[in-house]
Amino acid sequence: MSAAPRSVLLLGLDFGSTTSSVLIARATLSTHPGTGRATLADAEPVFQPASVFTPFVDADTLDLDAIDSLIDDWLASAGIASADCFAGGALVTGLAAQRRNADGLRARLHARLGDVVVATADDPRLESWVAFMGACGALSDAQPDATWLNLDIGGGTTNTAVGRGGQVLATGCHFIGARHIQVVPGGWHVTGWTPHAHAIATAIGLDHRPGTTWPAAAVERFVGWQVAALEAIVAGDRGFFADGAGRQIAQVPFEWPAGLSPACARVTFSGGVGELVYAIADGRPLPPTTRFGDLGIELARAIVASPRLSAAVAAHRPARTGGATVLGLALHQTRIAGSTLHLPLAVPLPWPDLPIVARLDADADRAAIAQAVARAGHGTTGGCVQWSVDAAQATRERVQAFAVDLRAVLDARAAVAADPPLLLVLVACDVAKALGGYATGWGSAHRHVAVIDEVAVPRAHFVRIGRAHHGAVPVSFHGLYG
Amino acid sequence: MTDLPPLDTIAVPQPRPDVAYTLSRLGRRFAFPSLKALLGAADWSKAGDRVAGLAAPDEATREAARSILASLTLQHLHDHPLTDHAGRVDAVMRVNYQIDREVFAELAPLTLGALKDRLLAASPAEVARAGSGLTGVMAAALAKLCDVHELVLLARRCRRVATARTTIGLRGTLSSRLQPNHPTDSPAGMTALLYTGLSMGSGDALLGMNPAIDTVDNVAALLRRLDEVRRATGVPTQICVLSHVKTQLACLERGAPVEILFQSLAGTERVLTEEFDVTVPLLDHAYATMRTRGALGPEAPNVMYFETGQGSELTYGKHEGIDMTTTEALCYGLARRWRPFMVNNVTGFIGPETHLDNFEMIVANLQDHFMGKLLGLPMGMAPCYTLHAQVTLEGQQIATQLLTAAGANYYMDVYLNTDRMLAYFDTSGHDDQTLREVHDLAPAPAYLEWAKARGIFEDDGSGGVRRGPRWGDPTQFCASAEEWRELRDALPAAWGFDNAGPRPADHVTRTLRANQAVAREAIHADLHVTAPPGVRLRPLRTGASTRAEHLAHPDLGARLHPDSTPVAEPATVQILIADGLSAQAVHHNLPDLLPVLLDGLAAQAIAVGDPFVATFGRVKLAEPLASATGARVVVNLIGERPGGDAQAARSLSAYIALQLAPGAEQRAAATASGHADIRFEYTVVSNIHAAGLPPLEAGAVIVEKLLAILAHGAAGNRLEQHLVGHVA
Repeated sequence: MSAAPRSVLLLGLDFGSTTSSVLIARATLSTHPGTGRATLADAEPVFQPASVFTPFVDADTLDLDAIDSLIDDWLASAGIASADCFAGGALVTGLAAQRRNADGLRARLHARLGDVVVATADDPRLESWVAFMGACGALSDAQPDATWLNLDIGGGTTNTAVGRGGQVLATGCHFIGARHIQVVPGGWHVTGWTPHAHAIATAIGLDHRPGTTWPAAAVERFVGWQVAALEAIVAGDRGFFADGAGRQIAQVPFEWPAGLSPACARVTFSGGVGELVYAIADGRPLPPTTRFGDLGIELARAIVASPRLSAAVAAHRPARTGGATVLGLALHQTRIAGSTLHLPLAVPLPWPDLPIVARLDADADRAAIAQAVARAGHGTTGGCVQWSVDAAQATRERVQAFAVDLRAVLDARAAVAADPPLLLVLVACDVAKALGGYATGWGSAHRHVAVIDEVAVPRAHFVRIGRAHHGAVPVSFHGLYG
Repeated sequence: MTDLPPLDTIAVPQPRPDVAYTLSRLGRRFAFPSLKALLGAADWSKAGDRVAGLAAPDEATREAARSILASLTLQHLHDHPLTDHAGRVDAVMRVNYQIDREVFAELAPLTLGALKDRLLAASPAEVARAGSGLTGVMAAALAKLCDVHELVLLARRCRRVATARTTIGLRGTLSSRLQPNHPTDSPAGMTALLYTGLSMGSGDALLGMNPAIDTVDNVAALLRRLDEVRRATGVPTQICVLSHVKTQLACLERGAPVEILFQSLAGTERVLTEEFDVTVPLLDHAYATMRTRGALGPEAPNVMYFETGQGSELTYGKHEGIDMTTTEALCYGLARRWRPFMVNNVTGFIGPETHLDNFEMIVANLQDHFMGKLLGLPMGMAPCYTLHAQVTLEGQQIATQLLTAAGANYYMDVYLNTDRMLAYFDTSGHDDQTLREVHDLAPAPAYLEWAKARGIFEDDGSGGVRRGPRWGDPTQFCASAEEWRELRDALPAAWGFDNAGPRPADHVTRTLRANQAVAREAIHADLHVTAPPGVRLRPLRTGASTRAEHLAHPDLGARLHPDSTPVAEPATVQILIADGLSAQAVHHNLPDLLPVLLDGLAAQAIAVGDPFVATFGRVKLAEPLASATGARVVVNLIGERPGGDAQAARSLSAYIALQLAPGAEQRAAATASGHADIRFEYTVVSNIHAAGLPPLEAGAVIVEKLLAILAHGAAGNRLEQHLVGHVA
């Protein structure tokens, strides 16, 4: 990679239940002096206009053309083209991801921006992860011995992530948010509700027939149930979500990692409701109740009134509350691969949406390798296999042995499959050229094989390898699980 | 505004044939065939002069030379200008004759001995005035007659003040250049170093960094970053990025804030023009440009900054037979033409081939300071060292104590002495502050007021200044603890930020010294290479027979010993394993690297000879080996010069030397390089060690580079141009 530091642009787009946001950041791509690795640093937002309401055609359908125009306007205002961006992410989140044409939006984003960003919809764990990184990643880095739990509460979902030392350890997602009940602004005359709100209202005996006007007590009971659910998440009370309405709202159940005590967690908030929580705690003036036609303000007040949820509100503030997701998408979604890679000239970058089909442990034998390679060969565009070997394990003997086995597998498959798709091997330690060299006879065979290293691989279903920029290759993951 | 006399108007006597100088003393006859030989023999013996054959063989000879020198008049020295290899007076020498003729006329009849006596008895004003009538050669000759006390005393009488945005060199002050060098010019890293230095009262002379990437774009960006920090902190000082003068002028054209213009100088025209790509007319133009369009405006009287260093002419082999002290003085006689704001040496930077040990470094620095001050320059000092010399931190500290007593204007502030980009050791902010406290000195006045307002310094209640409550606290410049942490994380070799008074806390010092110890050990370890299974190693002898020779004479390690010259063989590639400046680098990396390299070449059916192992080998040993064996490419796996980091002390480089085929390939290389006679092109893979590029991976990288070199018939920049568009 070129040694001179270079400025690059990172793009984040978030299309949520209530609002849509964009953030463009400028970062410096440079080479670490000790390791020679490319790193992204000094990231600073340079364009972040106010969020806008996500355009819908009707309650169930996203307005894709309006979203296209929105993206056009944003890029024009920023004075850039999407091709000017190095990397980033575009995410359809929350209830927007539940809409019937959410995948259509994802496809359109991919077609339009897929060369530079990963575009995905309905990826709640990814959403939780990026929100944590955008909101309290820096806090977690700065205080690595503390346990941080971030609740990103928007219109439709609460994305939960817990982490220590800047690393996310567990994620979850529940249908708790501001817009499950829609009302006429200025009052509590109910105009609409989601199936999840229906389940909650039924569970607590609230009349939510069309045209109903709720008294204050009803509102209090509804948001009170939501707050109880949030408290259960924070406390690790899985029984709350075992059945009934609790079970219905758990999109991705949240489990506390073993060894971490919920009692010690510092709770932070992000998302639209999260912004309101800190505004209330600070005594700042709020919009009139139900100004946005939902119960966001009421929910935020109830959160502040909960001692468990608000214990850390005064002492610890996340870097971002509003826009944490889009910040996380722009700044944290992208990792940079190692500086010495084995890349086949036959298959140029970028490689979007490669399925990660297998994880091989450090001492995987030839049979396991053969199985993984076979699975990777099922897709027409290729597949990815992760080899889980760390730096201490990556001795010359082990790397050579793995490469020899891989070469044997590839040779056997070549005898029956003339034009195999791309096979990407992901490794966390710096061995890509050595592994790729031994496995391919230093490029003389198996030109469909690539090895990318020095990227920590999360539990994800897909990996995206972006276009190289001055030798730096961006890598991002989506479809997070576990 | 710029009244620089054209070169051809400077009166210089015609060169004369060499004069022999002789003296008989106690039955022994001492003879010196020329003035150059006399000047060389009169100096303390230093490694560089010994290599050049100029040093006196013994003390008696040296004293004889000094006695003769002391008897020569200034008129004699004036009338015998030293010439270059072609017998002419070069441009540097000519500028040295830009002297105050009235002052010279008064001093001309004096012998050097008498001049020295007069100056020792003179007032400061008289000493300062005398310097304006002297050439560099005269100043150097005088320096050789002075002992340590005299070098300190006379220099102290020459106070030289300079003003850019602020003024330095005033009585009672000791200033510093804050040098935030970073190996990759990381904005975060350089900002961390700036904040740290400012919090320690550094940078009152200059915020000045050496760029890792010397392009106009990058240098302009660095200038803007320095300017941002200067404005944001409000620190009263000036900024500079020490790139080539042409690069800085281009930055000025683009509107970058070029406040102080820098250039390295040399004491011979051949080095100045052929190695540094600088001429006197270019510097005249640069000076005129800065005085009219520099960022500080025409009101700033001093806007130039020069660095020099004893031995650079010698290492380029273009010293014209002149000793190191005299060529250094010629630099100063050149520098004063442009009335600089700052001039400092960097003596000790090159290594043991110029200055072997603490004594040589100390006396050279005292001489430099004296000569510069005498000739009218606002001299700062940078007594420095590398780990392969016998120069130590203690020697550097002794030098700076003496130099401060002598009145040096400024030193460098390199954090914890360790320059992370240039792999050498200079003075630190801790050193600068310690020297201030020992000698009752303070920063420059405007800076001091700024620092007091921030709590970095405070009045001590008895008319002096002491460290304030915020001294050594870089977080004062940050918006949050998180910001400081991110900045600090961008710094390599930052062993800690705790202080004990003006010194680093002991645990920081222990870590620093432990790392240096590992690094020095790496240099002095003997090379022992074990052959991998199935591989035969072939020993190779170089021109250096001992480590002392190897370190003092780098050229010897680049030659094959006459008794150890291989014969031609059909292998396309030869592998050379050399200790270079770290046998430990070979020991720690070769076991994993060599098998991968051999396997990779075998997989491509490339014919490789059995590897050679050379003790006391240098990078360019690859060339005679290629010539002798007929190899197309030689891969020289060689230990790098250790910096201050223990891991990096085991860092190996692979210099892949392509022996250019005659005809089109050689012509293409000549065009690309500008060297008509080029015979080899190099691709380098560096930073090979466990914490850098792991040796296993490095072996594969070298294979790939080799295959590309063979395929394209090009190496270095020419190869990279062929490869543009391909990743990694």
